[in-house]
Amino acid sequence: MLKYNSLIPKIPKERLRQAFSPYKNIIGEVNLGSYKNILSNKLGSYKDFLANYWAGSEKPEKKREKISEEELKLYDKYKKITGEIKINSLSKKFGNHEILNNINLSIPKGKIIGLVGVSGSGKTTLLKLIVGFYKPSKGNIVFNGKDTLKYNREIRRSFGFGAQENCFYDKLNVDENIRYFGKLYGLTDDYINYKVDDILDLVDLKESRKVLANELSTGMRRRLDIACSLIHDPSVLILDEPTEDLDPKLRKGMLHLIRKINKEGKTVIMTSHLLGEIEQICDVVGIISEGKLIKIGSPEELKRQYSKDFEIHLETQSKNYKALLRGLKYSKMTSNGKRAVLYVSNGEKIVKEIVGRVKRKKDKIVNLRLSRPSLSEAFEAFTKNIKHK
Amino acid sequence: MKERGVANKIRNVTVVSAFFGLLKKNLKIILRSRNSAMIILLGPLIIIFLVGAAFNTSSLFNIKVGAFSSSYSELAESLIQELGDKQFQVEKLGSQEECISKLKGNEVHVCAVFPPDLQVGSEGSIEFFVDNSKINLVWIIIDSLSTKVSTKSSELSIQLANSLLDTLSETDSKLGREKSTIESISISNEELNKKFSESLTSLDSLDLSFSVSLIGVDKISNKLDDVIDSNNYNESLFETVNTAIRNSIDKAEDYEKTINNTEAIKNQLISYLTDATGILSESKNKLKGVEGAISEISSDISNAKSTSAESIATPIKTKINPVATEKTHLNFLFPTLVVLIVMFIGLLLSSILVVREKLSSAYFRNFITPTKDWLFILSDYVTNLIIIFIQLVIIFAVALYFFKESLLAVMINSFIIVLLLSTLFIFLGMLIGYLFKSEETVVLATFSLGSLFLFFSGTILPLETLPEYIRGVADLNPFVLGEGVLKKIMLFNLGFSELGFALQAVLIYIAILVAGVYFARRLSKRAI
Repeated sequence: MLKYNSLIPKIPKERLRQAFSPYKNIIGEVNLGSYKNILSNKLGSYKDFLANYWAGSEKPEKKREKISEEELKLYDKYKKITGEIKINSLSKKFGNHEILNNINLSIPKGKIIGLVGVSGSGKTTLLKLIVGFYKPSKGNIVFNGKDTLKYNREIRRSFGFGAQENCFYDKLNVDENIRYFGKLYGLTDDYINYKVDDILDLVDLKESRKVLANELSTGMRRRLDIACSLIHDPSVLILDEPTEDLDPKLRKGMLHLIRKINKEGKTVIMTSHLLGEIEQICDVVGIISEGKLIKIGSPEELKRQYSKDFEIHLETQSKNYKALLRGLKYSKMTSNGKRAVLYVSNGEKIVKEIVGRVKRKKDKIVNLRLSRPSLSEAFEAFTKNIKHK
Repeated sequence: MKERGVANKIRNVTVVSAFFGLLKKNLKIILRSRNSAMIILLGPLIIIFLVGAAFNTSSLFNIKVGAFSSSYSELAESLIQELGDKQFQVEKLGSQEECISKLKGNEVHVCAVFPPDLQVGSEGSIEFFVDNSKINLVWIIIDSLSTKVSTKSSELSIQLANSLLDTLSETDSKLGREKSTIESISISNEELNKKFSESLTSLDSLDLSFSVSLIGVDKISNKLDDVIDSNNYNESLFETVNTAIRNSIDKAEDYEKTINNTEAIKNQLISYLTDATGILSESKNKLKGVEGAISEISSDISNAKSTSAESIATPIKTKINPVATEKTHLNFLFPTLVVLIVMFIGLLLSSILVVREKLSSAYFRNFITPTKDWLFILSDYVTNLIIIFIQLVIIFAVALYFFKESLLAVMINSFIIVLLLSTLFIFLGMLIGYLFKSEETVVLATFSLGSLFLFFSGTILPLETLPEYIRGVADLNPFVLGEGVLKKIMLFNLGFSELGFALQAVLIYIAILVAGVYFARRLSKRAI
């Protein structure tokens, strides 16, 4: 008797497994014995295939392929193109409207530099000028000793840019987006295959590689944007408001990622409204106000420039701050009844004195913290000064 | 050296790779939107099927004719019957007002008012009322109706001409008969004339000169007198003789008088006969004239008889020889239809693709990559071309079912031209996409431009109805150029070398648009 199964052509098991692997979740483990099982597993013929196609997961994952030595050497050479970014007397006008005015800035390689400023101060324009998207009205930008305008193509290969809005295609999945921009950055398919897993690992999107971009969460979208900026292995990564719209947890994750990227030797230039983050992560901070770079330095330097005083935050059990702090030398003291803040020039000495007085008065310290004023305060003061001028 | 070689090789590979990457991305984005994928794939197929079914005929169908006459004659009835074939539906209505009102209400397409008791030659004409607002239809209806009525009218004319010819024929035969009578009269006349001439001769030769002296009786009398005198005869002896002589003389004198009278009569007769001969000659000439005239009339009638009644009824015959041999509207419409589809899909698809890309957040990242602008433009163009190519394959495959060999013969040339036209409209659409800022304005601009092209193309209104200066501009309309070029190839089977200015104009347009798109793309950076 002719058996049903004998009518079915033999297909190598591996090929079938590969072909149906995207549908594993839908149909469970495929029994390779016959098509009958596949059909009975409610595959719904090509309906699911179409559903998956529309969702962007029509292809099984590509295997990591070997890349030629020559190619690797060449891309490594591109990777090594790094150096200081020097911005010389840079101005940018749109019509009669001056956005940036005479910016002079030096960004050392391998550092994280934060640019802060109120909305419309010209931060994004400056970043777009650095990456070569806009041409300066005056001045120039030199990267690794080369004018970025003259060597535009070469420079673009060394810069990655994560814009304020996520710059990728919603109708492409994670993998497709990264590969697409890799190709636009002049990478071969072999090299993209070689790189893509590392990038996905770095931004923690490996599990979501076949998910359409518009189905990703906000945090994942930001990470995908960074992945698209990193596929060509730039030596400088520019991030415009990378933590915008992220919740505190995601922000923390993003900052962690930026640090990770920086640890790979990449220079990171970023902007943010959240000065706490900038203070936390950046080696150098530039304050831009009304198109001008008004201050530049490390967060500590900036805070020092703002005020030489320390801040002492004090909370005691008795909350009797007036009696406790009587006779101490401070420039300013504020209290909301619950806690007190003192501004003093000799922080450590005053803290010791306070601790002694609390002991003597048999009171208890609930909270005592010695710090410099925040960057936020320094920023407010600097920008306020500019406005007054 | 080796390193530079590798770098060059990689650069070449990556340009191609980037191009295909862009192409793949474009196609994925288009096809992953289910609605647009369905429209792109099924749209042209549906259009071509509908149009194919609708226009695969050469006639008008279901044209409703309202008819009214206060008194229908046999002729009017036969005309109505003539109209009421499968092309027209005739409805007899109660009054002219009702008929016109139904025409205004679009219940009938034309209103025919027959004069009461319409007869051939009777006064009054058949009046057709038409709705001029239906600009395209009205002329087709008028043309069809005129054809129908003139067919009937020409049938009647032929009948009339036939009876006229019969009468002429009868007259001709009568004239033939009368001509022989005239001939015999003419012969008799001739004979009479001859006889008159002979009589005249005879009369003329008749010598009636007579005189008493000629007889010499007086001489005898004288001689007798002499004899008597000389012989002294008694006169009495000769009295009898003298008397006889005198009587003879008297008689001779009487004869002389009689002969003289006879001569006068002869002369009179001669004069009469001369007159009669003259009259006969004259009448002979007149008879000859009549005979000649009869012959001429007869000959004219014979000529007229040899003319057919049809050529009398329609003395000038016209024959319309179409230069294209196809039979249905679809054949003539197909080039227009293809250009129309290519125009709207080319314009819409490319403009939407560009504006979506422009509005996409990824557009900025594209600009900061080292990939050059021309590669983006090329990939957008090729993406659109691929989609239009697929649609054209569908359209041409379906068209092959309708046209078979006639299309097969011009397939390759037509396809090349259509791809060229697609290029023109794709770049025009891309330019619109780069120039306008939102998808809504792009769609509006595309439809407006497409409609403008369509309106000034002769498809809705003949270009000949436009003022000359507008026609000059309309002749440069890409739709007109494309339609013209495609018609030349599809209907008249002309080669590329015979396409002349239109093809050159299309190529010039493409060159200008490519440059325009390039600059518009660069300008679009400012909007980011």
